[in-house]
Amino acid sequence: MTKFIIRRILISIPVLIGISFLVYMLMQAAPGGPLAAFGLNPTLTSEQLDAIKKSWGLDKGPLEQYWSWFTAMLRGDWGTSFITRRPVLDEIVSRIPATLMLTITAFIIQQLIALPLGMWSAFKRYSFSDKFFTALSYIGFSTPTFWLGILLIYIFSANLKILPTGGITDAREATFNTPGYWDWWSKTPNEAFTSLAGHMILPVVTLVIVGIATDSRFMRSSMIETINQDYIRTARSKGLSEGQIIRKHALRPSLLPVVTNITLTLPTLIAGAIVTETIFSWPGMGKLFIDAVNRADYPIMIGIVFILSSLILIFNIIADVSYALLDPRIRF
Amino acid sequence: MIESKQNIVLQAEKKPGLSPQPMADPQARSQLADFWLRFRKHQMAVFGSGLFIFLVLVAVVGPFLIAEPKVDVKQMSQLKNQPPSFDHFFGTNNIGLDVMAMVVHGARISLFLSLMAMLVACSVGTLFGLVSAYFGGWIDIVLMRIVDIFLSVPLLIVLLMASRFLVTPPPPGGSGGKIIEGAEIRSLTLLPLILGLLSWPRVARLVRSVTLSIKEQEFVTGARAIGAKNNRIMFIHILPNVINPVVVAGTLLIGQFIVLESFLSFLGYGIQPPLRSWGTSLADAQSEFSAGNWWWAFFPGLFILLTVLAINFIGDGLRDALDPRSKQR
Repeated sequence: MTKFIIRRILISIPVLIGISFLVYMLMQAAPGGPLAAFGLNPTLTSEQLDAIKKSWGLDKGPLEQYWSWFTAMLRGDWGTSFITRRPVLDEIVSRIPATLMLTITAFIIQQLIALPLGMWSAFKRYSFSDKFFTALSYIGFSTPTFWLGILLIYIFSANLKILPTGGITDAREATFNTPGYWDWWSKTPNEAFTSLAGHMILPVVTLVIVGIATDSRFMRSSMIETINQDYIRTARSKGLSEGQIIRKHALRPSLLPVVTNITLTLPTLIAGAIVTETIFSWPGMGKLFIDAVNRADYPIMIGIVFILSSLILIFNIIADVSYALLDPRIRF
Repeated sequence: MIESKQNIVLQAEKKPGLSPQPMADPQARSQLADFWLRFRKHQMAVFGSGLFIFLVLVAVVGPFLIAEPKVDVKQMSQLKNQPPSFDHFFGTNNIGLDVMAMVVHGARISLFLSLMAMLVACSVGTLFGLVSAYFGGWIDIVLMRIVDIFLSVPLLIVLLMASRFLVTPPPPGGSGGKIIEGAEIRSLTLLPLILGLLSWPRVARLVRSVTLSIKEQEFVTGARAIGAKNNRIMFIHILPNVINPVVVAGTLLIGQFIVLESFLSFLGYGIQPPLRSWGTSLADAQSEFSAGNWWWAFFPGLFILLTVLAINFIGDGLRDALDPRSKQR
């Protein structure tokens, strides 16, 4: 087991280096680099431009730039943002709370609805309600997330005017994740909570609706596979009630692939939040990434890609290991 | 799947000589008829196909029936922001453009672009998968590491980075991207290429796994024994046997590409004006939330939803019809 984990980690390292290299080259090759903005400024002399280039490390070739980024990154220095001049890690860390708050809330609600729904569909297979939910879930995972978000804003913000259009705080309130904001929480927690909850409803609902569709289908097919097993037939022939069959025999084995699947999708949730965060101008990592792409902020872009890819690789290994730990039939 | 198919083919070829009424034997159906019989049983897939044909008709014939949306400066104040009515089934937007005309004229590009991207992804993926599995060894290791690299980065993230080839980003603090000259042509040719070149690895992995089992079968050994060259074995003998899963995967990819394209266009990174896709229509709609004219955003998005829904149904039907042993959802 330990050997397997070590081998997987060792394989992941060249993959991670490959990702960072390819993405870095892609980033560099795209036209309109970070200096394009200065082209519009007529008062800037070419000497000044060269100086900026040099201080940002853009005067070297792409390979050299990659190498200096890579070696610095190994030492723990991820560079500084071209726009805000703050260290990349600080920028990213300051955005993590907003993203996690959104994705974790959505994730929990989604699983609380999707898993029971999927199990229920499996037990009532081919009944009217199962077919109804099947049709709904097809529509659910064919729905473009961003369109759903726009529609919700149209309905609840523009027409009914009961929820804010986006952001995490109102303009008159303190900026999120600043000392003033946390002061607000400690002074008037009720007010702060109501504001946060109000801002969270629409993005969370957007994420949950699309998420339920896929997860409940997955749960349903896993449960169906389980109840077709011989030991469920045995349990049934012993005269156990449906409820006992679910609780004692079907639940655990059918949850196994679901848990693995959830583990695998966790890191992509953060990437998936890009869409929602953009629509609702939620100040999380996804928004940070889009802004960085808009402004050709190389260090931020590569930093986020590197973190997300590492997470994906780590969670892949965790999923494999957890599967082996939970299912005694699997050996390495 | 493979053996059963070959059996059917073999028997279909044998039977006509043996029995006077070959069609009476269910085993004697041609592959196509066999496929159609299974596909037809899948009600959702038949419904999806009908819906998809309708959408393709909208894209192909629609532009001839409904005039291209043009700004009418004189009547703009009367025409703008009208809710759906008998004059304008889908309503009008803030400069008096008919939303139905926008949807119909956007359909062509949305569908065409996704189809092109799918072809790129499937051909590159199939080629790499075949080569990787057929030759094995170092080639396989290197190619599969490349696939790993691609699959370990969220597609949307790389896509956003790559789409900077289409538009230069706006200056810091400014808004609106600077448009490269000839951007609309560029976006139409480059976007399918970018989408396809970033999503082939999934197809490659699929083709590889199927090829690995096929290349061990007798007919491949037989072909090798009579002196067939590698290329011939790969493309004449193995390729026809891996095409079915690729068709299923390709169908589902079209749906993904339609959504990705519309999101990119929505952000201003996809299709460039004056070209129009469903995504660009949605992008316009975002600018006027406060007006509350929901129809502007609703209809382009509804067509995206319907297309993706139709494609998902078709994909499921194809999976059941082409690959009867695969797990049903």
